[in-house]
Order: sequence, then structure tokens, then C-alpha cells
Amino acid sequence: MKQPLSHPGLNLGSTDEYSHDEAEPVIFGFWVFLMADLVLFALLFATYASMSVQGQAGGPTPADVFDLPSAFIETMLLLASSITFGMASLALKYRADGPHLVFWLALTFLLGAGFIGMELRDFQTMIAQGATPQRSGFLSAFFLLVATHGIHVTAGLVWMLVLLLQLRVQGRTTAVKLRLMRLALFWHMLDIVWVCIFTFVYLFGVAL
Amino acid sequence: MLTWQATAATLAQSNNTIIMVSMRRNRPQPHALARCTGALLLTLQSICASASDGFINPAGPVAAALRDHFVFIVLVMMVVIVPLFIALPWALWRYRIGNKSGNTSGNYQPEWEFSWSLELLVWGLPVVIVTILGWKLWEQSYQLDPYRPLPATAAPLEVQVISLDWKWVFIYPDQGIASADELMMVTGRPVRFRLTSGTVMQSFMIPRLGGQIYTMAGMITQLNLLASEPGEFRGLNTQYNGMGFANQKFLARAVSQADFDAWAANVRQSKPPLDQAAWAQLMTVFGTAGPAVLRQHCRRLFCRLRVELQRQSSPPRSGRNEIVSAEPNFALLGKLTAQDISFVQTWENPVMSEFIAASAGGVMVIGAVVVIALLTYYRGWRALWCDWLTSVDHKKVGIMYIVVAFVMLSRAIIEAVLMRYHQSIAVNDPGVLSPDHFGQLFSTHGSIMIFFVAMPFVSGIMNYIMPQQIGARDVSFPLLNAISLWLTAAGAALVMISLVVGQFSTGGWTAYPPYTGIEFSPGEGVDYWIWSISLSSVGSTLTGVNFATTIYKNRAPGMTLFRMPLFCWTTLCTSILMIFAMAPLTIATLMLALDRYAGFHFFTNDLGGNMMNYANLFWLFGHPEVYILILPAFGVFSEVISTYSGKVIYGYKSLVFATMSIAVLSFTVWLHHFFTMGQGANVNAIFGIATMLIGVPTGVKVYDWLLTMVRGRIRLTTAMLFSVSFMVTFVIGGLTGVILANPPVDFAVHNSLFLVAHFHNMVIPGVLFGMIAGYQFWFPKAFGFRLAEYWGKWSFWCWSIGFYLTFMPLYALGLMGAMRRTVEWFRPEYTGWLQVSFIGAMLLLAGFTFLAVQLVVSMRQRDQRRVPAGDPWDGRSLEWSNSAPPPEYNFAVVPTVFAQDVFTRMKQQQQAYASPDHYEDILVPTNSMVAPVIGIAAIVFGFALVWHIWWLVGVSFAGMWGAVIARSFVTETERVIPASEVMAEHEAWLQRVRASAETPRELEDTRSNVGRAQVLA
Amino acid sequence: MNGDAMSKPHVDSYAQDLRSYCIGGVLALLLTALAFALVAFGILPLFERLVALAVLAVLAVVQIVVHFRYFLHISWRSHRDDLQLVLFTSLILFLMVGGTIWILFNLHERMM
Repeated sequence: MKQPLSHPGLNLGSTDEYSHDEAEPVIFGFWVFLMADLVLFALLFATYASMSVQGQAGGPTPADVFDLPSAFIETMLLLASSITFGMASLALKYRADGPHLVFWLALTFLLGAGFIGMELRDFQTMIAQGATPQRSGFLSAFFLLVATHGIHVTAGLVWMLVLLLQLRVQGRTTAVKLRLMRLALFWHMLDIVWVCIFTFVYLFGVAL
Repeated sequence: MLTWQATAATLAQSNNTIIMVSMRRNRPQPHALARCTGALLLTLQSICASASDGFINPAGPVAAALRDHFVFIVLVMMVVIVPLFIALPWALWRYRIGNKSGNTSGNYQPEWEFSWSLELLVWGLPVVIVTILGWKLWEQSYQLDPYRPLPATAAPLEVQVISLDWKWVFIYPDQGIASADELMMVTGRPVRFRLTSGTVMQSFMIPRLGGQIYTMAGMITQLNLLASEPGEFRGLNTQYNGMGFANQKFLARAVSQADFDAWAANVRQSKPPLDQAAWAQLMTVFGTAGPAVLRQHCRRLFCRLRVELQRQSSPPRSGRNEIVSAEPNFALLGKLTAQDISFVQTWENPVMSEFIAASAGGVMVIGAVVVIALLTYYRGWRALWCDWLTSVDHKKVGIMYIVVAFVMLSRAIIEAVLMRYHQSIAVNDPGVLSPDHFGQLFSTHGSIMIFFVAMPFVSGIMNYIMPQQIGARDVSFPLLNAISLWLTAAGAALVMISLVVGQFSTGGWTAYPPYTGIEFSPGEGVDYWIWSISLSSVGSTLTGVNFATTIYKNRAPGMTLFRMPLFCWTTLCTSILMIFAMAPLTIATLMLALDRYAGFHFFTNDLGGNMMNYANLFWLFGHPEVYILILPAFGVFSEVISTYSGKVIYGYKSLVFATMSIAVLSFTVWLHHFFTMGQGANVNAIFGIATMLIGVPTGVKVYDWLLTMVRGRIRLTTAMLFSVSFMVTFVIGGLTGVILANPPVDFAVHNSLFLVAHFHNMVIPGVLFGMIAGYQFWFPKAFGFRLAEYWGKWSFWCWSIGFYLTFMPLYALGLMGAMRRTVEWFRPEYTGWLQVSFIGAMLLLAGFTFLAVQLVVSMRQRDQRRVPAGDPWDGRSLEWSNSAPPPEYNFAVVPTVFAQDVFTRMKQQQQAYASPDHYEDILVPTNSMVAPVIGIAAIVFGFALVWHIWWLVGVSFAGMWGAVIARSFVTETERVIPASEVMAEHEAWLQRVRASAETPRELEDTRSNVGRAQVLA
Repeated sequence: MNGDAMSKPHVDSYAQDLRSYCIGGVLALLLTALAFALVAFGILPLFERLVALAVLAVLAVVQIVVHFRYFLHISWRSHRDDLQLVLFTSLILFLMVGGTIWILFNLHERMM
């Protein structure tokens, strides 16, 4: 009774049936982990939702400190990196050799690093304006939420570096392939979290 | 007796005819219901006769309504409880294995598994009860909303309440005066309280007048009370807030309007003004203020407090009064000094309490030294490291979890006995423990019992059993499993280290800020709590992920979800709860840590912090946590009861459905842990009703277990005794749970010993009994020999009787107005109850000791107790189909499952112990030192964070992640066991089983039981 | 397990997979740009405040669905376990986030 397997993310399917079979529990387990991670973000959002309104403590309001153009550029960087990671996944699946995979991964890395750089610059600007996390409950919640996402992205970048190294050392073994597939899920999931951040934090904050 | 006449008078106003009938003791009582009520009230009365201080002896309409509501719930609940109490002993007697007349062929029906009519009754009855109670709950929530003005002819008296450090300030804005620790009210005139706090969160309560409400800095809550008779009533804070908690009480006097006016006039004329200096003194001087009366210097003080007091810093109130420096500390050892070692503290301050603390630390150090010495002497290090610590075998991981649980249980149970001893002598007496030491004890006791006893025990049993029950060779991610264990163990180790180095938190296991914030708890204690809990919560999340994946993806062929044993179902639900419910805890502790370490404002009193969100987040975790712990125990009981009744589980699908509903419902009830925070009646009512709803599937489960026994052949083994005792005791806990689910009643008993008794009543039978039953049940599987029933039964009686002796008095004390976490009592009538409770605690300790005796005795007699064939109890699921102890790979050939209770079916069809057609090579995961490396790095990481040793934080953090990354470069993670080796081992075992005699159930506890069960045709 | 999906064997086609990412990318870009444009060019203040926020929230939800569908390849034809998990997670998140916001705003109102 073979099931029509289709796990989250791009399936290797017939291009590498052994790895595809191996992927089943591994990808599922990681998917479950991502759900737990989503709960973490959801609660940070819920906290932010109340504190951004109730915890301003006479300090700056969201509209005072948010830099919308910068948030837009960050959004574009992250979205672009999601698409380039998609290209990397396609290269992993269809191009057994050649530089495509490494190229797309490297591009994703640069876009991700650019995102982190922009975010750090934003933080720096806010802190220079006196909008530090110690200023109010609103800012505490803001910094924790956005920085948690940022730390996740950074972890993803480190993971990407490790995998690039493993691709070089070990080649495209099943283990490395499965790790790349998991990193892809992680990366796309972080983009989804960012959709919520730019909407519910930045746009809501400015629109209110 | 005066108070009882007063009560009767109040009752007459309350128009509750049932109670009125029973109160007229001289008249005939024609109705059975009334007689029942009478009996119940007599019990209540006997409590009241010795202490007239709780809401059950009301002096106002609010408390009277609460009391009536309380009695009403108890009576309605009897409809479910009484039948069970009758039916359970009947079933045990009727279907016991020795009952010759009852065991005729027609009576033993091992396949009887369902009856629509019974099932409708079992579901219908609780639904009806909950509907009635839910409707009443809804109505009462609105009527008894503390914000709702009381219907009365007189205009309400306005009183503003400010809770300060261990004192209460009352401001009468209309009279322009204020008083401290003394509240003046007018008899028959409602009082409208508006409350806030100048320091940490507290809870304002006058038990005889009504329920309580939290006071929080920067927030204003409201409460309406009315004293319908003149008199003096005790008022108190119910929320632990530091060393002076036990002494923080006030006197509420209800006098006539004329007397009140005279008092107010007198205060205005003759008392000193409450000016800036007087106020500053009130704010900063700890302790009680005495009933001095002060004039108010500013009518807007109360409102200004919200702005002003938020910025006022207050010196530390727990632990040693040390000065916290704002500068980051980059010293080699951070904040750590020689004075932090507990022995040094005792040397410098040789008092009883310190001596006890040092002894505890000493026992730990000596214990560690002895273990190390023994390991060295017997050259056990290598075996320990190679066979255990680096192992990723789910069975060994499971056993190590249980070892951690037992070690921690021994500490937490001794702490419990110490606390019960202290409280039993601390009536108008300081007792043996300092307030701060006492605070650490209840905090470690709670934290350890939940996170380092219950969680590891549950994880351990799930680890050991679940993969075998679904026919898997291991969990999906064996190394991750070991890492989870090590993270949990690291958390436990941190708590143990706090015995010797520094102090633990005094904030209780819930660690509510702002008390646990840096401003009020500057010491290292809360940091110990934060990091030990965080580590274990990460471990539990990973466990959940791992087990859910295992159940979804690693089941043997043919093992559909609805053929899984119930224990697997409960494991699945628990895993799902772990996946979703640990994150809120991680977030809450992380935010608290950021407040403490980096000056953030999540839960602080000032700058927009909001401690209410901590309560919200903590209980978002906390309530599902209850079911994380209880569901696996439910699974154990299902297996134990079915096996020892020799019968298929009754209502399998019903039980599965009940388990799943409990899991989902557990995410909808968290607010019931803080009904008293001040939210609206609709919020409270909805969460209250959701809470009651959980009673339905839980009630169904209890009745389904009872029906599993019916028509079986019951053997009352130790595991079965624990299960039966659980059913009886748990139902009582369920009753008090339904009581507490009512927001109005919760206002009266929240934070009291009634609550303490309730959750122990759920967790001891519901978790600990379950885990002990599982331990007795599966021990022969894990170690190859049976435990001694004799000592097991001794242990059982001590646990059971000890439980009742310890916690039933706490229910009574709670109704009498005794609050939890109180270090010293001032009411002599508590003494007897507290002493009984202490005796009970000693019995519990004896029960624990007998478990140890049982283990030692059984080990010494292990040769007569061996069960190599692996099936000592005529088991029903796959874990009994392999040898005891099982081989590393669990199954020589992965079994094909064709039915529920598949091993029973295999035995009936003579398929058990048949040689397989062929064998294959088996891949097993190799040992790995990654998990212990991560675990040890995690201990160092936590310790370094606690003591602000920043370089070490960096090193250990890098160590943890370095180990993970390095591991990802390892390619050889599995080794092959060749088919020939598997065949040799398995065939040898099969030969042995076929040669051994089949044991009938009557001879289960004799030497003839070598683990091959006699199969009934 | 699922007869419907059994009958349509999955064909691995580069063009098809590429198209999925391209559609997702274009949709996500459009939705993001629309959301930012609504706020940045001051179109939103014309709406009632609540309506404006609702529009932004709907755009976000649509974009999340797009990401799930085209980047994470979760659809009604996915493995049942995965989809169930996403739906169950949504339920739990709804309970937790909705409950938290409801409770905290109710409390906030009553603390005045």
C-alpha cells in the first residue's frame, strides 16, 4: 500500500527515489518543528499586538519610529531570496551537477545577508533616536519580535554556509540533500513570518 | 455558636430553600435531598465550628451566594460520583479472579467491548450535569462579577486600596482620610473598592465577606462587598509577595453609620497628616504598619500612584539584600563569590534554617562523591559512558529519564515533608525555616515536581514503551531524543547546583513577575529558575516533535492509527500538546530574562510593562501542561486495567475520541488560572464553561475504565491497585476541579490551600500513580524480572492513605481561609489539620521508601523473578511479544499487525513465538557523544548565565552549536547487525520460550511465572 | 490511502516546478507592493480605520496562502498528515492569539 508521497517543499520524486523515500519522516519531523516555531512567533505577535497599543508609556509610537521605505526594501530582499532559494531547490532536483545549485544558494545568502544588514541599520537608527527596547513595553515587544525573526534568518545563513561547505566536502549525498530541503522549508517559513511582520507591525503601525 | 446563628440569619435572606430546610435542625426533614444537604452542611459546620473564618461562614451576601453556589455544585456532582463509588467496589468484588461463582463462563466475557446504551449513558450523564452547571455558572458569573455594584438601598462607600510591601493602605476619598491595616465599613452599606498596588502583584481578600481580586501596579481593579452584620473580619493578601507575606493582614470592622462618622471625624481632627514624608515611609519601610490612622495629604494620591509609583524603585525583598550594580560585570567569575556557597553562608549565619539548607547541600555533595567513588571503585565509568550516557537507544534513554525523575522525586518529596513539618509547628511560632528558605522550598518543590519529576517520568515511559507498541525499532530521530534527555537533565542539574551555590527563586513554580523581576528579586534565584526551565522546555518541545513523527511515520505495517494501543494515542496527544504548548513557556521565560538581564519592559511595573501578559503566556503553557502529564498516565491506566482485567478495553473509540477532545479543549481553558485578575464576566464565564466541558470526556474515561473491569477477571496487583485508587481519588479531584471552574467560587478559594489540595489531588493520582503503575507494569519488560508485589502493596497503601491524610485536611483548611505559601499561621484552630497533614506527608515518604525497598529486594531476588519469555502479565500489545529485556533492535522481524490488541490475537491464533520466514540485516544507530556534550555545555551555559560569567556563556554556547555542526559532518551514524546474528539470538530465545511452561493468571506472582502466559481458549 | 491522488501519478517536470515558483513570486510581489502602496500613498486613510486594517490583514492572509501553495507546495493534494498539521496549527494559533488579544484588551479596558 504505497502512498502517493508528497511532503512539504519541493519533492525530489522520481529524480532521486532513494532520497525521496528517506525524506518522508525527516521532512515531516522538520515540518512539525516549524509548526512549534510558528507558535513561538504567533505569541510574540500577540504580545506585540497588545503592547504596541497599551505599552507605549508616553514614548515614541509605531508611526514615529518605523521607516517604511526601509521595510519595503527588506521585504523585497527577503522575497527575492525566497525565489532564489526556489531556484536552488530546482537545481538540486533537476541538475545533478554543475554550478547552478551553488550559484543560487550563494545568491540567496547574499540577499539574506543584505536583509540582516538593512535590519541592523534600522535598529541602529531607532536606537540613535532613543527608541531603545528599554524605553517602553511597545519597543521591547517590537525588538524581541523582529530580532527573533532576524536571529532565525541569521541561523539560516549559518546553516547555508555549513551546507555549502558540506556540498564541497561530501557532495550531493542524500543527507546533504535532505538538509537542503529542510533549509528550504525553514527559509520559506521565515518569509511567511516576515509577511506578518511587515503587515501587522510596520503597515499596521503606520496606518493606525 | 454565635456565628452560626448569624449564618442562619444570613441564609434566611439568601432564599435558598434547600439550605434553609436543613438549617432548621429541630424540624422533621422529609426530603432525601435535604437530608443529604444536611449531612454536607454538618461537615461544613464541623469545619466552621473550629474556624469561622472562611467564606463558608459568610457575613455578607456575596460570601453567602458563593457558599450556596459551592454547595449546589457539590450536590449536582454527586449524581456522577456516587454511582461510581458504588459501582467500582461492586465490579472489583464481582469480577475478581478468585470469585468462583462469578467466573462462570457467561460472566467472563473478554471480548465485551461496547454497548450503545451504556455509552449513551456514560456520555449523556456528564453532558447533562455540565449543562446544568454551565448554565448556573454563566448566571452566577454575571451576578457575582466583582465589578458589579451590589443591590442595596444605601449609597456605596468608596474605598481606595493600595497594597504595599506587607501592608494595606485604605483611602476614603469622600471623607478625606486614610488608614493603614485597618478597614472601616458600615454595616449594611455596600463598599466599592478600587484597588491598585504600590509594589508587586497582590490579592485583596476578606474571606467572610466574599471573593478576592488582584491588585497590580499601574492597574485599577474593582471589588464590591457588603457586611450585613457588625463585627471584625480578617482581611489578607493571598498572593505570595516575599518575606512578610504571612504577616500581611488587616482588620475589617463593620460598624454603624454613626460610629463610622464619629471615627472619621476623630481621624480628621486628631491624627497626623499623611504627607509626603509619611507616605515615603509607608512605601519603603517593610512590615506591617499597625492600625495607625492617617490623614490624607492629597485626594488624588490613588490616581497619581499609577504614574508616580511606577518609577519609584524599591529595595529587594527576597534573598539577601544585595545592591545590584547596573554596570555589566566582566569579572572572571561574574557575580559569583565565596559567600554564595551554602556552607559558607551557614558558617557565617549559623541558624536552624541555614543549617537545614547546608545539610541539603551537603547530602547532595556527599551523594555525588559517593556515586563517583563507587563508579571508580567498580571501574564503572567506561560502562556508564559507553552503554548509557552516549547511547541513543530509545529504551536506554527512557530508563535514564526515569532515573532522573526518581532522583529528583526524592529531593522534592523530602522538601514537601519539610514544609509540612514546618507548617504543622508554625502556628503562632516561627517554626524551623526562615521565610526566605521556605519560599525557596515551595518554589523548588513545585518546579521540580512538574518539570523534573513528572515530565521526565512521562517522557521516559513514553520513550520506552511507545516505539515497541507500534512495532518500531526506534524513534524517528534517536540522537535528537538523547539530546532532549540531556537538556532536561541539564535543567535538573542546575536546580541541584542551586542547593550548593547560591539560592533558588522564591517566586513559586509560576514565577509571577513583577515579584520575579530584577527590581524585586535581584538575586540569582530567579535566574536559576529561568534557565533550568528554559532548557527543559526546549528538550520537551523536541521530544514532542520526535514522538509525533515516530507515531505518524514509524508504525509497523498494518498498524493503523485505530489499531494502536491507547497508550500510543495518549502519547500522540501529549506530543502534540508538547509541540504547541511549550513555546508559550519558552517565550514567557525569555521575556522575563530580557527584563532581568537587559532592562526590557515586558512585565515590569513601569514603562508600559504588563505582568498580566506573563500570567496569560505562562498559563497558555501551564494548562496544556497538565494534560501533557495526565494523558500518558491515562494511557498507562488503560493498558493496566485492560491487561489485569484480562479483557479488551471497553469503548476503545470512545476513549480515543475523549483523549483527543481533552487535548484540544486543553488549549481553551488557560484563563481559569487567573479568574481573579479582573477581566469581564463574559470572558470568565466562557473559559469557565470550557473548563467544565473537559469534565465530560474525563468522566467518560473513568466510566469506560470501570466498564473495562466489568465482565473481566480482575487481578489486584500493585499496578492495578494504583489504578483503582486513581479512579476513586481522581474523581474527588474532578469534583473540586468543577467547583474551581466556577469563577465566583474561584474568587473565594483561589490561592488557598483548597487550590493546593485540588491540584495535588489531580497530579498525585493522575500522574504519579499512573507513572508508578506503569513502572510496576513494565519493569519486568525493561529489566527481565518482576518486582516484589509484597513491598509494592506496602508502598501502595502508604501512597494512598498518605495522600488522603495529607490533602483532605488542606481542603478543609482552604475553606477555613488558610492561604498557600504561608510560612507562619496565626490561627490556633489550624493546628490539628496541619498535624494530620504532616503525618500524611510522612506516609507518602514511607510509600516512596517502600518503592526503593521493593527495588532492592527484587534485585536481590532477581534470579527467582526472571521472566525471560517476556510476557509476565498476559499482555495484549506488541511490547510483550519480544524478550525481556528486549534486544537493542526491539523486533527481530518487524511484525505485521492485523488487529487491535494484536499480541493477544497472535497468542489465540497460535502465531505468537512462531519462527519468521527469513531474517534481514538490521540498521541501528551508533552511540554518539554529541548528546552528553550538548548536555554538559547546557549546564555550563545555564550556570554561566545565572552568575553573569559572560566569557563562559560564549564558550558553552559555541560548544553546544559546535557539537551540532560537527555532528552534521559525521556520515557513519548507523551500524549493521547481520541477519545471522539476529537469527541466532532470536531463535535461541524462541526455543527457550517454547520450552517454558505456560503460567495461569492465578500464579502470576510466583516463581513459575517466567513470562509465558497461559492462553485461554 | 487517497485513491484520488493514486490515480494521478506525480510527474516531475522542470517546467511545471519552475512555473510554480514563478507564479508564486509574481503573486507575492504584487500583493506586497499593493499592501505597501495602500499605506505609503495614503490610500488607506480614506477608508474607515477598521476597514483599512481588515484590507491589510486580508492581503497578508492571501499572501501567506500563496507562499504555502507555491513555495512550500502545500495544497489539497498534499500528504494528508501535512495539511492536517497546518490546519490544526492554524486552529491552535487562532485560539492562542485570539484568546490572548481578547483577554489582554478586555483586561486593559477594565483596568481604567
